Amino acid sequence: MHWIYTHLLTSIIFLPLVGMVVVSAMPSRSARAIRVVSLISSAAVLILVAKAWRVFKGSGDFELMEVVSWISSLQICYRIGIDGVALLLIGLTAVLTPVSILASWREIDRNVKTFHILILLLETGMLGVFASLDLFLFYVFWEVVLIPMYFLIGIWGTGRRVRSALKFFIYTMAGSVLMLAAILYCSSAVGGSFDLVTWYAHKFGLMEQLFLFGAFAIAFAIKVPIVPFHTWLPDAHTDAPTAGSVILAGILLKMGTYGFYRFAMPLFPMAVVKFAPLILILSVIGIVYGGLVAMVQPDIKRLVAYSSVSHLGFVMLGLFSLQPEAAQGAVLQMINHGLSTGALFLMVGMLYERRHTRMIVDYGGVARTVPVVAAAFILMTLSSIGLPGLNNFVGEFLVLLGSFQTRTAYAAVSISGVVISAIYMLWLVERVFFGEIRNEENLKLPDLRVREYWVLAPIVLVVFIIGVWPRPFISKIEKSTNAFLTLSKRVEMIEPVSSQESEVRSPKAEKVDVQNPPPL
Amino acid sequence: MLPQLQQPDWYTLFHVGLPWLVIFGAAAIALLTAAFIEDDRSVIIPIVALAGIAVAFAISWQRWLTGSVGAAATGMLIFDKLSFFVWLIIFLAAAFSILLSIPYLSARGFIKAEYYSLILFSTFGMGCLVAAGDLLMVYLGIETMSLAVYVLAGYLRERPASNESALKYFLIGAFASAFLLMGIAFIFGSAGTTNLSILASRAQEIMMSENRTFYLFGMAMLLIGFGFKVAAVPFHAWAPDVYDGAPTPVTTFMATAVKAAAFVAFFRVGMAAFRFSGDVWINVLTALSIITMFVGNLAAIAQDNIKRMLAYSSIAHAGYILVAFPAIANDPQGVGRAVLFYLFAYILMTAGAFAIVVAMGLGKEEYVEINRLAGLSKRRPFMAIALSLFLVSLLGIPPTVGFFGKYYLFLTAVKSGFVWLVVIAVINSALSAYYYLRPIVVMYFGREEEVQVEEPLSPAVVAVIALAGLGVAYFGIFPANLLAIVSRSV
Repeated sequence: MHWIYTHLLTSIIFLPLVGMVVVSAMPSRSARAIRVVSLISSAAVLILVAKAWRVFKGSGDFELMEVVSWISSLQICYRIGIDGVALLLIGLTAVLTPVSILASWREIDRNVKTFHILILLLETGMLGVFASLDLFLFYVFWEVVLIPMYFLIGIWGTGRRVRSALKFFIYTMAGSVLMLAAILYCSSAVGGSFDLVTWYAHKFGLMEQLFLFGAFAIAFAIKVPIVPFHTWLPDAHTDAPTAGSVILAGILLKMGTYGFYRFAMPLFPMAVVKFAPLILILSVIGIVYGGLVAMVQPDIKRLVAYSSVSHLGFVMLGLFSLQPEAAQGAVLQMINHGLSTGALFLMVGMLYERRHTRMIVDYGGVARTVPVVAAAFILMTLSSIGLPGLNNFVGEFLVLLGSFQTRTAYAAVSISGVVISAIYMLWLVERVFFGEIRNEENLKLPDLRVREYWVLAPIVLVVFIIGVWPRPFISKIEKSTNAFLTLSKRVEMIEPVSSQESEVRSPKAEKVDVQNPPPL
Repeated sequence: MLPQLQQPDWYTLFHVGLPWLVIFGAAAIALLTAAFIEDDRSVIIPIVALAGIAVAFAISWQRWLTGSVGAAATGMLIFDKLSFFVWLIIFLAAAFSILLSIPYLSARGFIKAEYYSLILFSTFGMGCLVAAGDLLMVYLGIETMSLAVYVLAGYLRERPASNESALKYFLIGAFASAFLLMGIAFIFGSAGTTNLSILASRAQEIMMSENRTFYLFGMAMLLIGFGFKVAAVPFHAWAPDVYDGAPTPVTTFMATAVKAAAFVAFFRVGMAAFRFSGDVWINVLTALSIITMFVGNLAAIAQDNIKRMLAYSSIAHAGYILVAFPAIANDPQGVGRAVLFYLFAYILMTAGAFAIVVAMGLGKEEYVEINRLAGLSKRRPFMAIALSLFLVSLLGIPPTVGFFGKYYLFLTAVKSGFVWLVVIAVINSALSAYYYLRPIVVMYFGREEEVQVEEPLSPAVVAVIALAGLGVAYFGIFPANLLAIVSRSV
């Protein structure tokens, strides 16, 4: 136990992998036992995260650091640590993964073993992404996430799953290989180190920053997704199984915004200044366009998927406003979107399990047959459209409050997004749950089962807590977002360097003082 | 006016050259044993061959430990750590090929002594090639290596494709040899020597003299010769047909051992000659790399036959290796390390992938179409997992050895300032996702149709898959030790 407490973060990251090994050793016939084991191991992660939450001080620095030399000749280390934002995102991952496993209890009835192996591998990958402070390690985890999700969509998906899975894979891969090139370049520019803190301290030249930011930003923008790169999202979300959609929307998209927060913006502040108008415009377009497209979707799942484009636009707006409240709001919005949209996908999955259709026209008036589902759905809808007292309100309000001070015009336009989201979500609720029951089949739908209560309960609980009393969450992230702003706004601290081409051709290896961690 | 070379006594020569002699001896013994064995299916001969490789492997390992970097040149052969390390990985590739040959040939009732002798003779040629300290030795090594493989490619003599493969490989190979010889002649004419170390020390002087043109022309010829051997575009056209027509274990041998040996020789010649020849060669190598990657990857997308797909993929991988070569002027050691690491990684994952193709050829009906892999995840779940692992590694997704190898190559190129070349290379990596994922899609996402094909298990194939799979996973997660070995070799 002592080892676990001293290596808390490592335990959190690799506990799902331990569960995965156990599951792989189990016979594939015992489906129930496999489900239980993977549920337990992902729930145990949640317990450890709760422990980390208590230990975490919120100092604004990286905490719970662990450094072990991995590939010493290339100065690559297993270097992990979290700030408040990473802690929140790890918490989100730890909540949504067991929920997804629980939600798939009945939906996944073939290849149960493979499914749980992949989910647990995915969890390790996601936790690793949020905890890595070594760029090589980060890239490894970033890519590890890709494979299980590809299989989840491809094997257990519906509709044109193969095409959607491939589209998801190629899009993400195309972005991430550019990021790899950028990582290689940066590491040779700073003298071979992959330590994020060393990179923060390095002064990249203007042209370097523009190109490097571009490479990182494309990788992250595809993941977020920012508008011209969003076309994989509706397909992947719609065709994925419920657990896949929940994790995709809840966590994988946050990897993109987290990437901007952790890497692209603080590393390349001059590029942030140059690129901010472009990204802000695209974000605002995403907010409005995503909402408008969501409005006309005939498929519930697709509607929720497009709403993600809109919501993530707010997160980007908040980050690029470079203003304390907006940044806090943006981080909070990452969590909120994960919870609300995750819950919406879960309930779409529940409806689909009962009715085997996702078309809005096939429903209508089902609030009478499944009142509890309807109540939960309405609650999440209200949360999603930002009703005061629920989680999204806090985040969206902070983002708009902050961005009005620095980016008034963009904030003004994006307010329309709030209205549009109210329109499409409430209209969806009206068409699905209210009105006359037109379809015979809708008369005999069973209501929420005990297991499904357990699926929704944790999310509903957190939604209320953040909505009513966001203070503990904001206090965890406040100093971290301030540190992020200091780094991202340090343009004046860097003297304009016209070109560092010559320096790149012969990087100075001795310049950087590298820590000498104990060997593995 | 050749300077006096270090002349070792016979005992020393025998001592350091023992692995070469062992391989040669094993080849001869295998051939002679066959005279006393009547049963065509007997596995004694492959066991003799494997034993020879194992002994030579152990000796080479010992020589590697005691050897030094860039020492003990006898003029013709260089017995340095690089030679012994490459010997080790070539033995690995040859052992994989022999293991895969046993079930493949016995399924066709075709175990013949000369087959294994030929593999060993070819391996012997590779040993001479990778240790060559003289351009003439390079030529001899390439010829010894290739002659045996020409015969092996046509070994299934009843099958027209195999004959076509052998003839094509022979004609193109002879053509390439002619270029090589011509190049050597021009270099000798302009520099007055074919010894690589003398060439390296006098390169600057030759580049300033009036023989410069002939010297550069000779190097162009050499480059074309090597281009054919490593299947770099535009000298690649033979590869898909030859890979497809040859017996699958021979294809494995060509894709792994032959390619590795040719690349190491290319590296040695590059160290001596190309390194000092100015920007024009850097640009030529860059262009060669870019076009090789694009053609390999784009053509692979269109393939339905897994052998042809892997052939184009091996062309693409030659392109990735060439990404590091332009840095040879700046950072020769770094290039050597990156190339060696990648060759080792490439041998593991390619041999693993071909092991599954061999398994596809062991049933009643041999098949090579990717679409017929459908349902493999049900029939042979572990085989499907292994193939996915090898493909993902070829694609370069962490944590596999393929990722780290590629990473190391690209890092070397970036360090020397070839950033745009690396950007093109990583874009190619993304392109390759399309075809590497196809077998995975077919195996896992496909509908289960009626099974008409089978992939019987054979212990030898399982051993290759297991070894390669473990290597791909282990060295992907913990590359540090291997990296240390590679770093001490160059």
